[in-house]
Amino acid sequence: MASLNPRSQPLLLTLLLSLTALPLRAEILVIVNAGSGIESMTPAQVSAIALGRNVTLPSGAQLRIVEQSTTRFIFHDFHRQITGMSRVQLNAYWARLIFSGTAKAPRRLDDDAAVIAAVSADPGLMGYVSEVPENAHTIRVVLSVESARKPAKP
Amino acid sequence: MNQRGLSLLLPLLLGFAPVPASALTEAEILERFEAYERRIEALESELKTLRAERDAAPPPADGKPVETATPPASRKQVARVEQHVEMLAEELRERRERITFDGFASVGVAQSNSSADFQVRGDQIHDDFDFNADTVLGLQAAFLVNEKASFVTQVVARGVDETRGDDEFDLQVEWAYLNYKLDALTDLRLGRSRLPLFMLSEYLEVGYAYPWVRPPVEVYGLIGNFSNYDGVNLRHSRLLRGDWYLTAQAYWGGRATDGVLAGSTLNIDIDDLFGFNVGLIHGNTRVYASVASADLSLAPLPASLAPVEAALNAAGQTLTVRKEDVDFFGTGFHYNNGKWLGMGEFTRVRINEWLLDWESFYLTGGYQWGDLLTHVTYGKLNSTDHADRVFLGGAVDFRDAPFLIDAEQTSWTVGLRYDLGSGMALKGEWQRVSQFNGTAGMFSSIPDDSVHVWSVVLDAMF
Repeated sequence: MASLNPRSQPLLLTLLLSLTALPLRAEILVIVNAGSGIESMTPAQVSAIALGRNVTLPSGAQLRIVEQSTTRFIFHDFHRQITGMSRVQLNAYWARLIFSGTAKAPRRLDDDAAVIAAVSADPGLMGYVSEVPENAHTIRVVLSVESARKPAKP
Repeated sequence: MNQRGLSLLLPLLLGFAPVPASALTEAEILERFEAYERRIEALESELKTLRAERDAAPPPADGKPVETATPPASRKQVARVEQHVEMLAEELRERRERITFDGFASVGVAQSNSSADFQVRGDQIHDDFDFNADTVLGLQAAFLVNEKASFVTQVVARGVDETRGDDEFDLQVEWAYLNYKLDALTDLRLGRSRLPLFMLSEYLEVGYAYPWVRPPVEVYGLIGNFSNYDGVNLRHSRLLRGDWYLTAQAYWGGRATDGVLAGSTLNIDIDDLFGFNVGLIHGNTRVYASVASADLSLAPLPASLAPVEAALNAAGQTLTVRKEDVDFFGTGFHYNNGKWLGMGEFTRVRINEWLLDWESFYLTGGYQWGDLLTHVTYGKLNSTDHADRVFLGGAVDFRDAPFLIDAEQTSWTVGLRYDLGSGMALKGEWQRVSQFNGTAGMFSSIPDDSVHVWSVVLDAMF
């Protein structure tokens, strides 16, 4: 039976279940929708999109970032390595973009599963997570960066 | 049941379809959302009731599955209501994504030790505590009309210049423009927007976006009432080779507003405004340059300027300010590597005839200690066309019209900004303004000595 609650995502549960395995090597994985036609991205492209800039990828696609919560390690890790900006810098930066009408504030999601679900549902989104399920058909990893976090012991 | 479902749905859909987003007020939009949600709730509870009824029906004795025991009509109804709920939910999601609201606010107090009023942000800082100069509330709404077009409006309420005779808040529509995407990298804006003369022009009042309590007054103080314009703006941005990011805009328009000169109100008209600016961003560095020109008209000029008029006429000039050429040039840089901050801007303004030409700049250096930023700024302003007004010498009592002498001042500002997280920052600043060289600088009258200004502000964005 179809779900009655418009916000509930049956996909979420599946994803959560498949994410329980611990990663062997800590990574930041930049993901896009599998249907976006994007095969790979450079750190510069990812950085520009993460900063709400106007970027047309070679495929012709234009992406928006879906962010992780600032309370998560991966948020700080991603920005330190990709955009080179601290949380304090990013806050003021987005204030400038939003109130100059240049860009909309990115959506902030609470965990990897929510980011994967959002990117799975929208070919216009780019996200970053620490792991993707092995059999994920709806998303594609376009860049992977070594995380500053020490890998969890297997 | 079907009819009822339809009768619920129709007025909703009809109610939404033909109304252009720009015609709705925020309150109306929120009201509609709420109505929408109530409808969904009603449909959901109706569905629940129907399900309960279905489940309550006793299973037949022969043990056939419950499914078949449910009357087919009722199953259909359930499916239909479900479909409606999903449709409405989808519609609601879509509508929500179409409209975004953002806001910013600052509450500040400032005090100087001089009886001469410090003229900043179209307001004044006095020698008693004043909440007005840095206190501001802004609300911005962006409506996505379709894939290409969006409508953005920003309403700002701020403390009003007391010289207008009141001490209340003034509500202004700073922005109201239609943004049309010509292609992926190019936007056309029609309507009212911020006049993008300076590096920080587009977020002048968003205290949360910059380090100081207020943008350095030597550079930013002089635009006073000219912070926005009505017209056309074409902007383009793209990622260049070598990871440089380019933004460029060209704009054309004008603005009619009012201001205060020598204590009396006058109309200020800016016509044939044309400008161009370009910015380049690479890593932590941003550089910026801007040029603009316009025609300025001021009328009626204060009666107290009669002696000036006589002196001007004697010199073969007129007091009238009608379609005087104004030229602007500005350039700046911004560097922030997360620890060290460096910023600077230089501006030059030239106006025909007796009105002041000037040059100004500021340089800011800062260091970030976790959530605390410490910064220091040096600012300087001086008029550059002394010779244009020499003949006014004996004819005018400059104490009545200090803006007719040259303008000079230098200031040092030392400040702190503490980021409180969740979009709030607390700032404190001490500023020492001096080296007036016999002029009033940016004060209402000539200060006796160097002036000290203390300011504290709480900035927020939401």
